Amino acid sequence: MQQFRVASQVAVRPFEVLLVEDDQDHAELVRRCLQEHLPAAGLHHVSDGQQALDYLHRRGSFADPARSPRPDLVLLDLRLPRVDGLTVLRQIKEPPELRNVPVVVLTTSDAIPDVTAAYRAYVNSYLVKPMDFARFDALIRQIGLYWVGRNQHP
Amino acid sequence: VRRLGIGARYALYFSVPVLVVVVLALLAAGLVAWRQAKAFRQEIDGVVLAARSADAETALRGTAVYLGNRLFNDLHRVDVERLDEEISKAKAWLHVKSFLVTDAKGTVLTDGTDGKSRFGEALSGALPREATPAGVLLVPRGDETEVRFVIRSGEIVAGFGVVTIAEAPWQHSLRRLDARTRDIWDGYRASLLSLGGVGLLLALLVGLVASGILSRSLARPLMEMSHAAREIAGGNLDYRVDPEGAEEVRDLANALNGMARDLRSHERALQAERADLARKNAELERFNHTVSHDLRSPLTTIRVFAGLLEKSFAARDEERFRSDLLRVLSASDRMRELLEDLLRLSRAGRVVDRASEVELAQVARDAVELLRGRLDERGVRVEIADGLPRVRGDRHRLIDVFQNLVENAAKFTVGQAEPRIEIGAVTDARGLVVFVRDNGRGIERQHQDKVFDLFEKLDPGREGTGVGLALVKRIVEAHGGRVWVESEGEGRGATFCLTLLLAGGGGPAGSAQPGGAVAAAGASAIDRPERPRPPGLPVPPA
Repeated sequence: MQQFRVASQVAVRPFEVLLVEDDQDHAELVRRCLQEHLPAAGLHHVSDGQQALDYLHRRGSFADPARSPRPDLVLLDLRLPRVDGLTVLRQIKEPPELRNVPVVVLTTSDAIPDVTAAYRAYVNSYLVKPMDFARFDALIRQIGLYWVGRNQHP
Repeated sequence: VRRLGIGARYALYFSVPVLVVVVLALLAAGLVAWRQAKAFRQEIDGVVLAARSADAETALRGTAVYLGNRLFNDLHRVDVERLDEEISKAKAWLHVKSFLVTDAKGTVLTDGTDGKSRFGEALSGALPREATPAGVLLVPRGDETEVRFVIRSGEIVAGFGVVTIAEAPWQHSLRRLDARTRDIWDGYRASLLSLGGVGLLLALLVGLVASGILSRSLARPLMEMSHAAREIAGGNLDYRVDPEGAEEVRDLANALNGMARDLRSHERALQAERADLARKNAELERFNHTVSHDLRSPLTTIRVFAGLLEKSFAARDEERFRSDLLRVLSASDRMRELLEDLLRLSRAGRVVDRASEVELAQVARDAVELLRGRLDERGVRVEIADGLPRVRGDRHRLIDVFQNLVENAAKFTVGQAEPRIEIGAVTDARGLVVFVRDNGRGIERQHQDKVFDLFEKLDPGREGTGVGLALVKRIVEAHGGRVWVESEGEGRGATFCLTLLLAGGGGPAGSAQPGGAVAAAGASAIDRPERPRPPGLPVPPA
């Protein structure tokens, strides 16, 4: 239960995850997996790119810092309504104020142009959603392990 | 020769024959002049000779007759001393080389000299007889002339006199005449030669002038055109030649310009085609990418939640089992829907009959009728404007268009107290613009271009696959029209516009540009006052 210990150590300082995902089923999946492996982490889910940017810039309904804390990790889908994932990524990485927020792309697309474009936009990691539960679960667990347990974040 | 350049070359080609012709003409003229001069000279010579010799001969004959008479007595008496005296006297006034006097038999009696060296010499040759006119015989001997005459008195012939004159006086004058004519002839030849020289110079001058003119009128435009051809070949298709010079050269220049123009338009067409192909290719790639992604999404849901089903089944968590099963079912439903929509979309590209004439009002009514149930359920009121025209198009595909647009508009009006959809048309400079307007939530400007993209959903929460508007776009474009959306932003309704061809005439509907007048009513007039409100356009629903 080493991982759990690490997770609980980190949990001293709340760890906030922003999940940008338009597919409600996938969002539910991520939520369940995170809850199991990182119960201390706070999960904030938005369904499109515009909302993601509003959240990050604390605009509109996300104006309250208590309810919309600055995330320690952004899990970003690429195909999103209104503002797509790449645009969101660029808007995070281009202006200096949000640049140090780690962004992990979590998508169904393993197309090379998508991967390349994401890295060009300074993504921190690019992960493809596995197509069965065991591997999906393992992936979310490893995200927690790495980004919460191992990785030093600002 | 090739190094000379076309102007100089043509000048050469032109001036060499000219030169040859001029030289030949001069030669011929010279020859003719020469021959004529020669004949002329000979004629002069002949005439002068004849005249002079006749005169001189008469004088000589007179002298001979006189001498014949004067010497008779002395010869008759054979008084040689007196004869010698007479000869000396005669020699004083007559320039003679020798003066012989013979007896009647032709034997020399005296030669007038003291030595009498030729005494007794028998005279050879003919002697003048009685028959000889006046008894005088003129015998030319080279330069000298011998005059033989009878010395007589009446019928008595005492002997003969032979006088040798060194040179006949007419011969002397003839020589002088000859020298004079030679002088004249020399002058004539010199002037002939200088004339020839002037002719040659003139020919050269003509050649030079011709070279200049040719180079100006022929060579320069040609060189310009070869330069132009190189430019055009090098890709500068906007290069044009000034058509100037001779008519043929102008024709050539115009042909060259026409060729460049044609090439430019062909190139433009090719570029457009290439761009179109590239666009279609990119679209196809995007389509494939989108399809694979959007199909994978529900598949992931199905597979992962199927795994979770197993878990909740093992844990006997009936509630979770049920909810996850619902997720699996709805994801598989969504997948089926997606596949059906994709099939519809691929069918939409195949417009069977876009030239047939259809009643737009009927098409709109049919589309609304197909959606009647859902529209009534939501309390959406659909108004179809009066006087919709007849258009060209595939009836079934156009019904698809209106069905999708109305369905889409109905989705946008969810949450409205009085949802209203309006179908109408205006005809302006762009042709016939048909619109479907709703009083729904509207579309922000930055999303207006994206709504027609495949699987592009503005609101992830709402139903639908994001295929409907892509289908509309595809059908309208297959009809040669355009489709666009106008909206003043959130909460202000949206107007979907498309261009169609009016039945029985009109230009291509594709010429219409998006961003037009249809939404420019009501509130929009404040935002964009420069845009005039089209006449007869219904006021958008409040």
